[in-house]
Amino acid sequence: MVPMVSHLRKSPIAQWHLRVRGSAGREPERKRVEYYEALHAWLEDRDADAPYTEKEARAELDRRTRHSSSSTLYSQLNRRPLAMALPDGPVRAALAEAGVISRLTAETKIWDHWAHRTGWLNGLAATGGGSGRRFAATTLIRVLAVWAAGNPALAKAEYCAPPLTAVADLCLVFDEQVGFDDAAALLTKAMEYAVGPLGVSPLAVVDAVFDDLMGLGFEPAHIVHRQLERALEPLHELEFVLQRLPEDLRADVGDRLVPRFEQVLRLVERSERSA
Amino acid sequence: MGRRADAEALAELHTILPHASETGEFGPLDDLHRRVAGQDGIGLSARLRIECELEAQRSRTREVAASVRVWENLTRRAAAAGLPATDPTFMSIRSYRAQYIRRRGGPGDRARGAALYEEEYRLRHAALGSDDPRTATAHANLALALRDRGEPGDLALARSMLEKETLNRIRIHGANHPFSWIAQVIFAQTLVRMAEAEKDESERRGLAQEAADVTHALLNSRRRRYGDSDGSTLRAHLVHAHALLVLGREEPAIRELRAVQAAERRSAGDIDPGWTDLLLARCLRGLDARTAYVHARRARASQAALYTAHSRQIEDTDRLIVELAAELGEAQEVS
Repeated sequence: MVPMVSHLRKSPIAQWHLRVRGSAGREPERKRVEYYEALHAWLEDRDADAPYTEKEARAELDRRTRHSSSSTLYSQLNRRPLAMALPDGPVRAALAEAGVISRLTAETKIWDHWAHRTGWLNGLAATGGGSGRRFAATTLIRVLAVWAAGNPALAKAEYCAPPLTAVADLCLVFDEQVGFDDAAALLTKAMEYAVGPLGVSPLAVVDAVFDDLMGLGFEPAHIVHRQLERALEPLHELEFVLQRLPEDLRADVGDRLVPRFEQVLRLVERSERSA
Repeated sequence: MGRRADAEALAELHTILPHASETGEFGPLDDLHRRVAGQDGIGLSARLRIECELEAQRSRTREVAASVRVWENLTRRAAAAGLPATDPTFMSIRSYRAQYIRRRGGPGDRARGAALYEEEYRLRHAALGSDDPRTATAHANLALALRDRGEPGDLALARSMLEKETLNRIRIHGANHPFSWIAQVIFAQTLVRMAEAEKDESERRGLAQEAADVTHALLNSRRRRYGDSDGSTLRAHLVHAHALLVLGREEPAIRELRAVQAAERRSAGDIDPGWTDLLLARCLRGLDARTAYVHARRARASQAALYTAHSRQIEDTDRLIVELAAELGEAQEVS
């Protein structure tokens, strides 16, 4: 789990955002951040379900940031655009072509969700190894639900699109074996639940999308086979060592292994019966 | 700063909490609690939330009477700090207080637990509405507390409340959501209790069969969602095995209970202490009195870690032990 955490901390989109926030001696991009804060505050002050045009939003943000026109906003977002930090695909293409308010919303979600993401990464590191990808994926959704339920106005904006850092994180948790767009669709569904009545219980949000999560990242045949290969490799090594061990040590190993193998066999037999 | 610090600490809490629940290992939770205690900028509600979750984990293995003192104290502190009654942490703290008072099982505890749940349910109903999941949880908890209080009419009232709660959850969340399953398991358990209290044989069988059917359908769902060894799957097994026992189908019940015990050893499944052994003792009673007696003694030993000698849980187990000892004595005299 710890190697996964350091991998997540260094993802391209996390690196992109760290440059905006300022880190490692770099100054934060203050004007860009001002727009994030203005958008967040404006969304919180208005009726979250009332539609707005891009022109209205731009005018409101100019007023709140005390800029006479939106040219500052355009120039801020065009410096190192967020889309460049995303993998090729429909999400990147859509963001690259989107209007300035949609792009600002995507960046603001990343900005505001960042503290939750940091807490999630700290939690993964604190629980150490052994908890695995299912644990990382379900807790990612759980924490995303906490954030969305606590910030419903921002979470609902742009049709409940999730923070793109969370999407990239989910892809990394799945070893990049799932598509960015599929991961985004799953997290959008989780966000929709989180801003609804189920949002009071983040676990209930995880439960609501659990089957989709398994279908996306755990049950496809190519992922199962990859997992199997990974499990078999150390077993092969263990087999080699076992033949060299004295009987009492071999018996100790057997005491640990046999119940696990029996459990796996029961599951395999159960599937055969139901097939 | 405060908002961000709270968000970070609570996100960490939500990440390590499932780890603590699944493994019973709450070292990271303890570390987080210590860290936030010494950190400026963390709000009171977030601090109390972390403390509340840590105490909830500790309460799983600590003497229930000690847990009651902890929850009473936390309730007083939350009230003194001026947290509003609908603060989510304060609501959780009050629910834990009610739960542990009910579970302490001393004189008046079950009635007081039920009264506290009733108060909580009314408060949530008025503040959050009937469809809010927090109101639904308090409603199911109240039904469970009434069922355990056991005054005349309580069982029937609990049954009708849980029937309504189950249908309501299915209407809102669908039959395939774990939130609906929780109400169904408590409902099935209540049917088993009613079956045990029922004198008419056909009524008795009907209630137990319905409980067995409901839990059988849930077992597959819970296994697929949580795995074979998770506490929630094991609890559904225990209610199912209990229903089989009431139906006089001891042998399949014993097989199921032994599988639960094997799974309990593999996991930190949050199962009421002694529950599996007590059911095994009752199933084995007419088949193998000596083994039944051994299981009843084991149940007594597990319960003693959490409950005081005068709790209803221990008194019920002691009664069974005395009966089994008498049966064993008679059997020895005959042989």
